[in-house]
Amino acid sequence: MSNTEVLLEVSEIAKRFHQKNDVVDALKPLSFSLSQRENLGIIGESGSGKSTLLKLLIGLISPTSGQVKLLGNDITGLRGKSARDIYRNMQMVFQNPSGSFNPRKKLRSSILENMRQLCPVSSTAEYDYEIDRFLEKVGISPELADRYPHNLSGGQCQRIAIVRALLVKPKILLCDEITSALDVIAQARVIDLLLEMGRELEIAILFVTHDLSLASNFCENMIVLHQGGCVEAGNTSELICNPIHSYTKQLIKSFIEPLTSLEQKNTVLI
Amino acid sequence: MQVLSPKGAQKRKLYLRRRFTVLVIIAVALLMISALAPFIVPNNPYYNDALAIRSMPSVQYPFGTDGLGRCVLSRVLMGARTSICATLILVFITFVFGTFVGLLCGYYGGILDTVIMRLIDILLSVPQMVLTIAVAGLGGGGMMNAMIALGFTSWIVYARLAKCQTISAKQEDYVQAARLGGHSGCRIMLVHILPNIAGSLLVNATIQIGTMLIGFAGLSFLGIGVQVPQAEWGSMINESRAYIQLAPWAVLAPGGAVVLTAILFNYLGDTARDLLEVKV
Amino acid sequence: MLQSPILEIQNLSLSYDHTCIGNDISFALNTGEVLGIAGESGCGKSTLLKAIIDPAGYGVQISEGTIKYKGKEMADLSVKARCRMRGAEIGMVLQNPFAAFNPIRSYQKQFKETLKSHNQWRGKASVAEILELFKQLGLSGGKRILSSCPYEMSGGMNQRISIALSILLQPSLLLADEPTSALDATLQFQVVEQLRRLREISDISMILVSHNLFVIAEICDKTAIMHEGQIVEYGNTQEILLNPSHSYTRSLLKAVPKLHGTWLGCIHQEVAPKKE
Repeated sequence: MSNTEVLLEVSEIAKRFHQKNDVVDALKPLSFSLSQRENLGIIGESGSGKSTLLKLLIGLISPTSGQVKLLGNDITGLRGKSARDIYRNMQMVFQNPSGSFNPRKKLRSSILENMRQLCPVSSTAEYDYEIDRFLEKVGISPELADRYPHNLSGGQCQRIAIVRALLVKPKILLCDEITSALDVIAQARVIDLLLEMGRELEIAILFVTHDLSLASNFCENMIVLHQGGCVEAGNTSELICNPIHSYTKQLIKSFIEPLTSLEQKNTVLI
Repeated sequence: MQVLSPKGAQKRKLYLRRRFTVLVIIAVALLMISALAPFIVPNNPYYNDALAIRSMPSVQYPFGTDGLGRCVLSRVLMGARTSICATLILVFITFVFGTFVGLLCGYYGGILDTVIMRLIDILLSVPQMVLTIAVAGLGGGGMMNAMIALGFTSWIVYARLAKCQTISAKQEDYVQAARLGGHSGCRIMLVHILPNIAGSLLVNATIQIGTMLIGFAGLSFLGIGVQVPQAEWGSMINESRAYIQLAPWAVLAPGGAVVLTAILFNYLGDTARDLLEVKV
Repeated sequence: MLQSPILEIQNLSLSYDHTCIGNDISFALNTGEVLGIAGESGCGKSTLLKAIIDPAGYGVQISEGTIKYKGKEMADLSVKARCRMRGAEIGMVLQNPFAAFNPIRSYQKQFKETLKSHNQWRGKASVAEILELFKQLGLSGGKRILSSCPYEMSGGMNQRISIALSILLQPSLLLADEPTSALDATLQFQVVEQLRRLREISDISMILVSHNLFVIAEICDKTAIMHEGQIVEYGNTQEILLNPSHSYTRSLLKAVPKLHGTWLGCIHQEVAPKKE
């Protein structure tokens, strides 16, 4: 492995919710690290704790125990103004494309608002220039940004959400099931964009999903979560070829890939 | 929220805008009439014409006269000032205050929320009208005291509603995204949460207009609201109630005024809410 | 003897509020056959299902073409006749697993309501039939399921139970609108298995709409690929997936991530991102 900077260090982070007479371990103690330009996949189904993990990392909720270090600084449980420094270095894209934008604001206004706060430039013209340039890169014509979220398709909204996150020039991008609400073509476009931008801007991507095959296509390392706990972690190809835990095996088994069986049935060579 | 195709949504928005404009014009006309009341009354609203007690509507007295020979139409017009203006001011103040408190409680929670909710519990433990009468009575009579008395507890309904809506809006992705944009709580509440919860709050406010009108009437009846001989719709209804079979116009005119005003503002609030909900 | 198709669609053109959604759609479905319709969001596949089951209710206008169910022209049917058909002749499974049920009423009550509205409720005999159906579909603990409420169940379980509900009245045709899209990977697998088992226990005909070609490939005999309101490729599933002729089909295939694959920026290679 090349000498890349360790951006994020997570030690024994956990979250426990107290509900009436019940104690729910949404996330059991978990440790891992994220380096520059690394793509890390977090796989799990609903209720596995993966969304809780992202919210803990970015500071939207406070952990019950454990520590998060961003670029060497302890950011565990930071709130208010001091949390702004986290957001300059770490941004997040959410699952519901149009839901992550204020329905009463035009998209451009939403993007501008974040830029002004976290990555200000000198003039309005420069803001517009930066936004338009980025939009062109992702294949969206600038005039679409002057519309409301509900006027655009899910795929378009999601790409604009990525633009909004990346314009702040973070070092880490957290993706919370960003393609689960999209069809395969829109999903493919979003992943294309993510990887291209990731390479260009040299950012680390933490990709949370329930789709093992999707994450396995571009994440070098993976962590598998099940019912709040990490069941397996490591290099992607190792994990897929030699899964150890039964849940990982179940995930791999449930992947629907009929083409190989179809090909086996069909003796005609393509 | 209605799900409409883009063309359908545009049509509906246009229709709603038209309706809203018409209603606003009517409301403004009503306000102007009440403001200009002293200049447009056909007769002196306080003059007792002993020869025309409980007389039927005529050219001189278009809505007839009441039990003391006073022109009903003139009193209705003068009463508009008292009733409408006072009500609107009161509703506006309680709406703003209650919404603000609700937003803070819903967004920040914690000790602030606990203290305010317990205060609300205390205020609500006493029957509202009893509390209102007590406060009005303590301050003596008069319009100002009546307003303070009614406003004492009526902000609570907005606070609770706003708090409830804020708590669910806080969970929305776009509010989380705004937090990640590094914005202050104040900005998030005013720019991101408030516009998206305004709809139901507005409807509530317009319903309260009718309730407040009736509240004033109740206090005036007990002599701790508007003092006689000042004209006020509610007190006019109560004064003339005793002889409704002899001079129904004395009750119907102010009663009709209350009903029509309440309908107008309710409809206005409904339209405003619908307009906010339709997305084009 | 050749069986006449259960559903025949010829030159169908659909519009929604005067915007053309589907154009010149034609295909035929035989009894016991499963047709898959694949395409991205907005291509008109869901609108097509809505046009089959209840165009008036969904605001879909049929501007041209015909839909024939069991040889009869559907446009000729009265509103009442259409209403009777829904559930009893044509069943539907929706994308959102929680949409088919009232979350706080027990399954038993809801199943009873459905049977009653078609005058088929026969008390204990009906309950026994439902439990038998659950067993056939591989749903264990039928009694426990019936007494539970939808909010207690996972999305996948709900979807499986809604499939059971949709075939309760033994319809001849089942329309499934993206039944797996809202589910996690493991749950998708369960629902696909459920539909496969359904084929084994009955000769129900199905139309399965999905944007995931792999799901379609698992169950469907024939596949139609829809793009911007038109069917661009139609034929035997195996042939289409192994030898796709249309470029759009190829891009759809490439877009589905494979377990032992690498992301090659596939979309850029096949279909350049349109400047939108």
